[in-house]
Amino acid sequence: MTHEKKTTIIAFASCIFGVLFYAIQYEYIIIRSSLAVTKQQPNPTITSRVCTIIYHQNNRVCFETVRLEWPEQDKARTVFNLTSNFFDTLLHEGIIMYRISVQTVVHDPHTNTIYISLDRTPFENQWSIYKKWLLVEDLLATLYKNNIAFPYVQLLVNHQPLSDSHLDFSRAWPIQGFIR
Amino acid sequence: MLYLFFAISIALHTTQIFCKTILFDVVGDAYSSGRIIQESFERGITLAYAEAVQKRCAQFNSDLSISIVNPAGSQYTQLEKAHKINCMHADLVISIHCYQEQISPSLYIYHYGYEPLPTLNTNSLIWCPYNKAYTINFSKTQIYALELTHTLKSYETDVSFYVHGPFIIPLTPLVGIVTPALLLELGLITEKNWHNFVGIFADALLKLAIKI
Repeated sequence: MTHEKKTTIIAFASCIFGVLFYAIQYEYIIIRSSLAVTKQQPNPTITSRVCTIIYHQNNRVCFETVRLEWPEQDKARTVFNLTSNFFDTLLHEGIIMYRISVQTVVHDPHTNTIYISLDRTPFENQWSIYKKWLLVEDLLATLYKNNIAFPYVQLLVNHQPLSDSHLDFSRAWPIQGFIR
Repeated sequence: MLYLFFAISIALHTTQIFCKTILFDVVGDAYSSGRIIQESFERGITLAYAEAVQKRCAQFNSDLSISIVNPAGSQYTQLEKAHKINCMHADLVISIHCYQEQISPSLYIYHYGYEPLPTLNTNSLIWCPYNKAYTINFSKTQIYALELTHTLKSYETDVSFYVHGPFIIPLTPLVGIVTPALLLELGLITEKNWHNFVGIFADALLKLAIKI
């Protein structure tokens, strides 16, 4: 075989290889392999459950039952649903003036803390310390009574620690609260 | 001459033993005025209230020294204020707040606490994070809070107001303070309502100062 022929074959083979590689890279060609097939996750079981929302109105403890989606495996989603419903109930009852949305709920398995990020502070400027405290206690009680088994809850606003001139949220609050 | 020197040093020593210092931390500073009570700001009301209590206490007990940490014109961040308070080595700090109450005048007493309750060994030289500063004098703070609440509750029948507490929760105005620190929140119906709380609070402080 002459040198020219060898060069032509190598160039042609390289060209073919390059085209194939490009096609695979940009998914023009899809190679299906039995090794590459991943096991499909079974659909999480979502049931509905009657939950109790706890809040204070006119110095009285009030209970409201709501039916919520309850993903058995996804505890963060459950906390998201419960917290959203808690703030919706407060808005409906006229305890808070503005709608508060839950942005994200994340669970840290190392510290066993659940992080709840809200889109705005849940407190009004004119509220007393006691009223602010009761609102947080009600949220914690709602989570606790509905068997959310995380020992600590950290409240955030826009994914930053909730900053308040009276209550200190620099550390996560215990789910059982501070009411004795 | 020698006798006079010893007499003066003994007199100074006794003054140091019996003179108690209480610090008042009022709401806000030169740039933040706090909540609104009718047509006044929380900052102005708490400052006037602290000065009135200070004046009244000075009339009855000259050994009790009361100072205001953040007088008019001052501006501190929370940790700067805590550092200033810690450097002053006072016997008690009281952070005074007030808000607009709708139903009846109320008085709430709080102090800093967090679960689990502290078991800090204060005898050893250890670094203490600022959010655990309260642990150093926690038991003293609890005693003072109970004592003050008990005294104020005894006035409930004479004056129409309600005393609530003492409650133990994490509080921003008391973060970083090593000295026993209490937070007092007055629920006022009107902006002039604070005058009713001056006498009773001054009396309660005078009673507490004896036990500090």
